[in-house]
Amino acid sequence: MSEPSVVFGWDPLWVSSAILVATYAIIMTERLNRAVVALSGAALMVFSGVLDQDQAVEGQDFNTLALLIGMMLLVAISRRSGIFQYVAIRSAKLARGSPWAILALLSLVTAVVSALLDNVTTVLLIAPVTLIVTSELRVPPYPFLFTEILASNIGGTATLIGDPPNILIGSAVGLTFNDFVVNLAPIIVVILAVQMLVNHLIWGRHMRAAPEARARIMAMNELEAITDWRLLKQSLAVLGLVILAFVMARVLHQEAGTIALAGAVLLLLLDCWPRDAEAQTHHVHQTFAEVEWVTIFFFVGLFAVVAGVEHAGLLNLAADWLLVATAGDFTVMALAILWGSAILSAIVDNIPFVATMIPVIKGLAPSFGGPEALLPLWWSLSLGACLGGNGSLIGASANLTVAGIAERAGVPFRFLTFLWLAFPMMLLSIAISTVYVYLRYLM
Amino acid sequence: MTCRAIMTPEPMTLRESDTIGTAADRLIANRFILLPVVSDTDRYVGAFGVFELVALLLPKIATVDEVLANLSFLADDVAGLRERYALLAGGPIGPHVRTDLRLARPETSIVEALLLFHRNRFTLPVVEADGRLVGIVSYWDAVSAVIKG
Repeated sequence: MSEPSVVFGWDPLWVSSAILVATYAIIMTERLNRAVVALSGAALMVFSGVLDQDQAVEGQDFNTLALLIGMMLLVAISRRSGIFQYVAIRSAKLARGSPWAILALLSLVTAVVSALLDNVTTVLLIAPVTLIVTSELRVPPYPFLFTEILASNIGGTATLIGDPPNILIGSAVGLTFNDFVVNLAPIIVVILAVQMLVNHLIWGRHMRAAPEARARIMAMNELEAITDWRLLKQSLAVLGLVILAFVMARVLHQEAGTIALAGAVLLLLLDCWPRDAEAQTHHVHQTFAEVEWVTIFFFVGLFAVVAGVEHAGLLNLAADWLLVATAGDFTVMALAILWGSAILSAIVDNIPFVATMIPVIKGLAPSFGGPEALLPLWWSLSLGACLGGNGSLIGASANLTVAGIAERAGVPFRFLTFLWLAFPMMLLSIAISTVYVYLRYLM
Repeated sequence: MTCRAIMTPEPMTLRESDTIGTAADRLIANRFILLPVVSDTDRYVGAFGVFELVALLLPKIATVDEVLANLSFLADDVAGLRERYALLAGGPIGPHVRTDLRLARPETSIVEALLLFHRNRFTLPVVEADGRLVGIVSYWDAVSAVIKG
């Protein structure tokens, strides 16, 4: 690695640290768009001489970017079929209009869909139907939306593609879809069940709906939610293929990013085929516009900022500090990462935190006998960062998305009201994870 | 020609404390798209119209942007809609008054009024500089004044 040549001969360690701290601090204030802030930090890393352009490009994790873009395209196309509304309405009818059963089933659907798609999209599709269902049942929607937020972040923790921290970790460490499912899904099932039980004790057992309200739910026709049957079949087929390919990624010798992008291209191809050239242009333009470019460019900027501090040696120092602080005890370190990342993720964006922690944890490999020995630390980071998002309303993007939809529909969603219940429930999930990580990996 | 020449002076109005039921009765009886809402001192406050009424009959989330593609999965439940209206009818229109309508002044030219109709597609409240409502101009008033003279 070449020695950085920083402006005015300043120490690259201090310059890169200052840029990192300033970038994260401004992101936390939410005064400026986070993508603009991250890209500004990246530009400063290059213009100050901490990185040159080639090093900034080398710092990019193209597998993560491809996976995010591919999944966003798949969702953008398939959501138009109405499939997600269908599933939500079907769940409400399966529950035979019982409010508690509907709450439980919608939460389960949210968790499963969140494990396979991104959390924000999931809640964006499920929350409006939930508001309709609760309006028809004449029951308060808050408990339903609250439970769906928790379910979304819990479900997203179970897979490689469920939550951005997992995408980052999986891509950086070479962990597959199956690795995440085998290691995290079992404890996620337990955590989800416990959270459902707690929600039942708090809300579910008091919920009642009049017979005529239940009859309104049973009179809903979920088939009417399907707006495009052809697209529905194509979407289900391609999503099924993509998930199968994730499962078989090692056999196929393909990275997750390639699989997701290939799936998106296949669905675009099928969707464009029957249209004329002009309609195709309009359609493809519309689909690409639905990619969350703010998130993508946020990642691009972040990768360069993290590459800057890594290049300057800051993250090696952080790894050394972590070793000293935990006295080199692997168990203490794993649990510190789990709890530290959970608390931090409840109050700051977990994506920059995880992006910074990845090189720090990688730097610990020589002290613990190589990269394979670090696996418990990766699972601790994933569980802490993903589940920690449930701790407050600003802990994860899905939380703010639900709050935004709820507020616009006239349902108050206050920071402290959410925190009062969500933070202890997040701590409970981390306590369960602690037992799991300890028994499975550390004992 | 200005709005003063073609406006309907002293139009029918609503007050913020009027009930949704009262407003609905007046809108339906007169087939108005909307009625201006004024304060106790006849200052213009906003407007309440048939589209506010329609929005109140629907589940609120269905009126937010386009988060739901359609509502065709709901049963055709007129009794449910009437039940919803009965719950709302006694409440005041105040919280539902729209305040985003473009306003005209009495001296606003008819060309400007036509542009405002083109952009807003609603009746134009005509308001003095001190906020007093002095009339309304409907798009029929404006178009017939131009074409029929």
